Amino acid sequence: MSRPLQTFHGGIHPEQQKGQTRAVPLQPYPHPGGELVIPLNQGIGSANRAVVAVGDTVRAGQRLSECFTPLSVPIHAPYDGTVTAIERRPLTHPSGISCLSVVIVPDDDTSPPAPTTDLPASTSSASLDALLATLSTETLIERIRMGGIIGLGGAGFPTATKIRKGEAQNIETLIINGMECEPYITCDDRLMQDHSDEIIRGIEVLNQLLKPTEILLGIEDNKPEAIAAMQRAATASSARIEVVSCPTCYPSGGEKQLIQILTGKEVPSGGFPHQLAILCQNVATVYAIYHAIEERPLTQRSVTISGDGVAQPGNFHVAIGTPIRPLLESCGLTDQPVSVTVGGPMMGFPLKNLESSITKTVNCLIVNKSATSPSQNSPLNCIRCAACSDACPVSLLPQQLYWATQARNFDEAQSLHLFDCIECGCCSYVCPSYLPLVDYYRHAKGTVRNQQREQVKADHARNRHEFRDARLQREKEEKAKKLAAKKAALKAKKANESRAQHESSAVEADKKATIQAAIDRAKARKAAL
Amino acid sequence: MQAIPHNRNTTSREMGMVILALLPGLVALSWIFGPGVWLHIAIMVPAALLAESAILLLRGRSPFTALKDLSALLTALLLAAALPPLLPWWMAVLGVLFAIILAKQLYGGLGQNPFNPAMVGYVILLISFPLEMTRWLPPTGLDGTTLSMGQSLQIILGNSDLLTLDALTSATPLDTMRTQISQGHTIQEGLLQLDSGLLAGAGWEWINLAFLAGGLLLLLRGTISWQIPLSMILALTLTALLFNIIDPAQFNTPLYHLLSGGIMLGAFFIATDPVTASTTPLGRIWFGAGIGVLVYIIRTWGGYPDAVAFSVLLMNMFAPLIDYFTQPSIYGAVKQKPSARSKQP
Ligand code: SF4
Ligand code: SF4
Repeated sequence: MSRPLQTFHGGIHPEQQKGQTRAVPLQPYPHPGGELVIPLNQGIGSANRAVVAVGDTVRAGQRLSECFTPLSVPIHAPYDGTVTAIERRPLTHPSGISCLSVVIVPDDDTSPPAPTTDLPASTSSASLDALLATLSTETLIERIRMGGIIGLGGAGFPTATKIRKGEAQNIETLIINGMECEPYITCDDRLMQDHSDEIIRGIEVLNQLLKPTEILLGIEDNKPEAIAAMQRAATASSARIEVVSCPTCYPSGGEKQLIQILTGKEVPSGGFPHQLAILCQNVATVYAIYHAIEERPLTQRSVTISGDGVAQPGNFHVAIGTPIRPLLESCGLTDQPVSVTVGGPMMGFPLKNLESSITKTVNCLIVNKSATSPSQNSPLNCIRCAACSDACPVSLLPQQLYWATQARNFDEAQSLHLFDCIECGCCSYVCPSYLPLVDYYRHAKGTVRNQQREQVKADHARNRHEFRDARLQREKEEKAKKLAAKKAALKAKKANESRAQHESSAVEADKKATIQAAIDRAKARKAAL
Repeated sequence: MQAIPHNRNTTSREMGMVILALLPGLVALSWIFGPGVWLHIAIMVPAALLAESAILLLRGRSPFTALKDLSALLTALLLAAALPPLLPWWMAVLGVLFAIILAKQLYGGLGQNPFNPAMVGYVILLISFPLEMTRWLPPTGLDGTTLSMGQSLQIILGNSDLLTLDALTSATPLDTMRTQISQGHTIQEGLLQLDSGLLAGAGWEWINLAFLAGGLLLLLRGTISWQIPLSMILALTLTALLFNIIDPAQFNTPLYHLLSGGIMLGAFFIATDPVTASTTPLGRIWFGAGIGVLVYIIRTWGGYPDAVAFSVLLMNMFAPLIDYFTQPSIYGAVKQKPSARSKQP
């Protein structure tokens, strides 16, 4: 606790809005029947391939897909049930695209989604310590991967891949992120209060895998109960875990900001924490890691449902694949039209389709009555007041980035470090002219990425074209050569033939001559007689 | 598009704060020099708003959203605070039109203008009407014989001939001092020529102190940041101190410089105009310091008695360059070691 903390540049103090849900313990959300829609594509990896077929019956925890790249992890069935369809369904994603999904209808007597606390280890009753003592590192990491674990803080990076990278780098500092700095969200807060032991067990798994020299669990000081609970649980652990209370200031929960707060180090621009021998994991991910080691794959996650558009806000363990509409209805969705934000109000995105379902990266749904949500002030001109650069945790110059991105001068934007922007939205929050600054940066990043992709494609195409030309040329040459060879062969053959003919005719002529000579001789003899 | 929460601070409110903070200075001005400044405001503000609306309509924008930002109002007030109190009305209007139309709207409106509009208006007037622009009233407020509202109105509307005007008006202390020194007199002799005030030119120190008070309010409220005013004041003080030590007979004291002319108005209200100043923290320091030094140079060796307007405009020109060279180092900046760099061919 007495650890000297650093601060990051800027930051803001938005209204917390956590009061609505912070006192509501995490409860399992009972599935109301009906479909579960589990997208094959979650997190950042490429899409999986389903290994079940329509009509198959599946058991809770059964793997539904296989995956082919290190960046994707499989998905699992949350309940016993029947696969009724494998088809494209709307995905909970900023773009509102649809994605190939496995649709399951759970059996009537739905078992609670695995894993919950009161569920005994489904396949192995051995305690975690025994598992850690007997299983090889490789097996442990493979269980995390096959358990379908990705970063649950929102990034969706496959945890096993992150651990492998960290393992190769000899991690010294393991940082567990319990900051939860976004307004409204309290599910990590509740997870730390209600499941502190399981989080600690998850940390022990990472401790065993990475053997760091220190383990720091950072929690914002607006969550005293969570800090107390984690401290209590940490003292009982074999791993040396330091629970650090950090000043509340958005975006302290950003990975880079948390690293700066706890260690004073800065992740190099364009680099990764493991270059500093640091690895960060979110508390919800650590909780899921523990269950994955005991072979309970990730089939549910904790979700905060809040906002003035629901009558009973709260925190729930929700099965992955649960459609959002019935979930919100069971929380008392108002009849009025609502706007739903997925994730926090600062970095989240507006939900396009209430029929899409909970994925592994959805940590919060904020339901607001559209009528009363503050109408966006119309943007005025930028007055270059620099309030935005004072607030930027990365020390960028958002107003200059704004001019550059608005003029679609993306080279300039990149030299102003566009890609170091963490899209935290602090600049938009303070801009007195109400400019939607971060939207400009997101859009610019997307455009630049597309351009780069196009460039790669074009390069690729050009390469292919050149390659093809070269191949054609080579083929032509080869053909010509072959042709020439054939011709030569033909010629030679002909020559041979003609020579043979010639020879044979010569032989013939000889023969004829001999015959003639014989006839002549006979004639002569006759005449002499 | 996600409607991100907001701290509910608005540009209009920031501008409104600046306008409020101008009030003590304006009151002091009218106390010392008569109600001319209020008369100027009364004609310049409508002129500014009309000009802004007209241009916006011409550009096919809604004037309402732009007027809401209060920037046109603020420009008119700043210019009014800088004008001599008996300037004919049409010159004042001309000045504000130059400020709004030429210096601001022709560049694309608020935020796009490289030069401080009020100061552009001021300098154009100063160059066009040097006589009228340097004719100030004696600080009669101090002995209670200020011009009445009626008298001021008469003069501003042009109903009095120049003779009475000449009798009424005088040069500013800065102006007198310049003339005295250029005629080979010393500071001491120069001061005798003036109704010398407590610290600087008579009356002016009160005006400057009033603007300082308003400026401090802005600082406390966080409406402006400390870098520009502080660095400007420090730079002027140090430069003045240096020359004052070298030759006290030739060069005035720092305090005299600080409390004369438009220094406090300039330091807290004009140089801090975010649109035309540097935006990086370090850049603001260079920007303010540049103004401070330039003010001293122009006052001492230049052709004009006061120098805030020229100095601000000059530094406005350099603001983009200063910004470019003072970009803060970002989080995780990959610092190149000099040795590593020199090794590269
Ligand atoms: S906060 Fe807004 S108005 Fe101020 S400089 Fe930044 S973008 Fe411009
Ligand atoms: S969104 Fe980007 S530019 Fe804006 S404050 Fe955050 S990091 Fe800085």
